[in-house]
Amino acid sequence: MQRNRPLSAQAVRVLRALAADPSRWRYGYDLASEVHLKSGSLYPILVRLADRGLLEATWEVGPEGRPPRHMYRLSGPGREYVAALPPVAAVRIKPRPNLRLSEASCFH
Amino acid sequence: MFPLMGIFVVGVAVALLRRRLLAIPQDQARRGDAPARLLGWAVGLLAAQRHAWGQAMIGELDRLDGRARRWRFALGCVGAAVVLPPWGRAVTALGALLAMAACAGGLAVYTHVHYRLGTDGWTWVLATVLVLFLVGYLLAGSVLLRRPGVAGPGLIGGLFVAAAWLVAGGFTFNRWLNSHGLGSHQWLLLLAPIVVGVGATLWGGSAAVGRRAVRLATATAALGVYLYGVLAVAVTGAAGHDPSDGWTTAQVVDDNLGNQAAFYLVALPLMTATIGWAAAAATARLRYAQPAIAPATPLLVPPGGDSALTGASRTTKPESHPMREDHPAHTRTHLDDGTPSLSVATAPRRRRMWYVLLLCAALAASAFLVFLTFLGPHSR
Repeated sequence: MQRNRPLSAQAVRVLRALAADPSRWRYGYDLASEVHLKSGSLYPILVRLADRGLLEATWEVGPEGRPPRHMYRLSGPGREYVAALPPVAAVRIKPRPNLRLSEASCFH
Repeated sequence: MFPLMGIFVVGVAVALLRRRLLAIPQDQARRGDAPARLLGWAVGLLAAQRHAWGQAMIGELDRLDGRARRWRFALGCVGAAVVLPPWGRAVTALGALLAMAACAGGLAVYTHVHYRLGTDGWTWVLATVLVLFLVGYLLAGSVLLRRPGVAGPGLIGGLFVAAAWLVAGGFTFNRWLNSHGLGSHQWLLLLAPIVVGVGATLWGGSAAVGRRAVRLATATAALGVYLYGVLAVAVTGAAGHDPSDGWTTAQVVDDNLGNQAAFYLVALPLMTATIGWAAAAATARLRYAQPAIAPATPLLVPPGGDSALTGASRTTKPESHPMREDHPAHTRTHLDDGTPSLSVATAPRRRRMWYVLLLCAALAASAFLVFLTFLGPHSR
C-alpha cells in the first residue's frame, strides 16, 4: 500500500539531486546540505526511497578505527522514476558555497 | 518531600557514577562527545531491520566537525530514530499508556473543577509539574517499548506492581483514601519490584533487559495506580473522611489529589525502579557468571550488509569492513545495552559491579524506609 503513495516534494528533491549525476555515490550529509534538509528529514526519506527500491547504498571503508560511511545513488528503477517525472522548473536547487561534495567516484 | 528529593539526587548521582565507572576511556573526545553518545543511544531504538540506518547516521556524524553542526545533525537523527517505523506492537501498548495518562490528567482537572478547589499561582505550577511527570512517563514508555524483549516483561511487571499496590491499599476507594498506612501487606510493595527485576532478567537473559523492563514496569504502574487514585478521589470526594478534624470538603479533596500525585507519581516509581534495578543487577550477577562481559553482537557490523537497505545495493566485503569493536560509538551502544565491550578488563569490572550492587542495595533500603516513613501516618 505504502509503495503506491506518491513521494513527498522533499523526497523528489532528493531524487533530483541524486539524478544530477546518477553514477556518483553521495554522502548523506552532503545530500542533506544540497537539498536543504535536516538530518531528521533526510534519513526517513532515504529509508523510504530505499524501501521502494529507488535507491542503492554502499558502505565506504573509512580510516582505521572509524566507522564506515554510507553512500547513496539512484538505482535503475530510481533513474526511471526520475526520468518519468515532469520537468519541474520550480524546484531549483542552488548549491551552497561551503558544500562538501563527496569525492566518491572511486567507488563507481 | 525532602527525603524524596534526597533520594532523587542520590539516584542521579549513582547513575552518573555508574556511567562513569562503566565508561571506556575515550582517546578521542570528538567521537565520544555528547552528540555521539546521544546518537549511539538513539540508534538502539530502531527496529532490527533498520539498524544499518543507525550505523549510517553514526558514520556520518563521525565525519562532521564543529560542535553546533554535530549537535544539529545528532538531534535530527535522534528525532528520526524515535519516529522511524516500524513500531510494531509497541504502538498498541503506547496507546494504552497514553490513554491512562490522559484519563488521569482529565480526571484530575475534572475533580478540581467539580469540587471547586481554589486556584492560585501554585496551582498552575503544580499542574505544570504534573503534566511534565505524565509526559515524562509516556516518553520513557515510548522509548522502552521499542527496545527488544522489554515490552512483554515490562508491561506484565507493571500490572503486577500495580496489583501489589492495590492489594496493599485495600482495593476499595474508601480504604484507598481514608485508611492510614498500608495495613499488613506492605511486604508486597517490596516483593513486587524484586519479582519484576528477577523475572525480567531471567526472561531477557541480561541485566540490561531486566533493568529496562523494571523501568517500563515502573512507568506503567505509576500511571495505572495514579489513575486509580485520582478516580477514587473523583468518585469518593470527601466521603468517609472523619469530619472531626475540621477540614472542609475542598480541603480534603485537594489534599487527596496531591497525595495521589506525590505517592504514585513520585514515591512509587522511585521505590519500584530502585529495588527492581537492584534485583535485576543482582540476578544477572548471580545467574550469569560474567554479566558485564558479553560476546560482541552482530550490531557491530551493519546487519546483513546493504541487503538490509535494498536488495539492489552493493556492499563491501565483511572482512574489509572497518566496524571495529573498539569504536567508541559502537562501544557506547553496547554500554547502553548493558553488554560492554571486551576491551575492559574483567577484574576491575567485577569490582565495579559489586560496588554498584552495594549502592543499589543501600538505595533500595533507604527508599523503602523513607517511603514507609511517608506513608505511615497520613498527614491530615
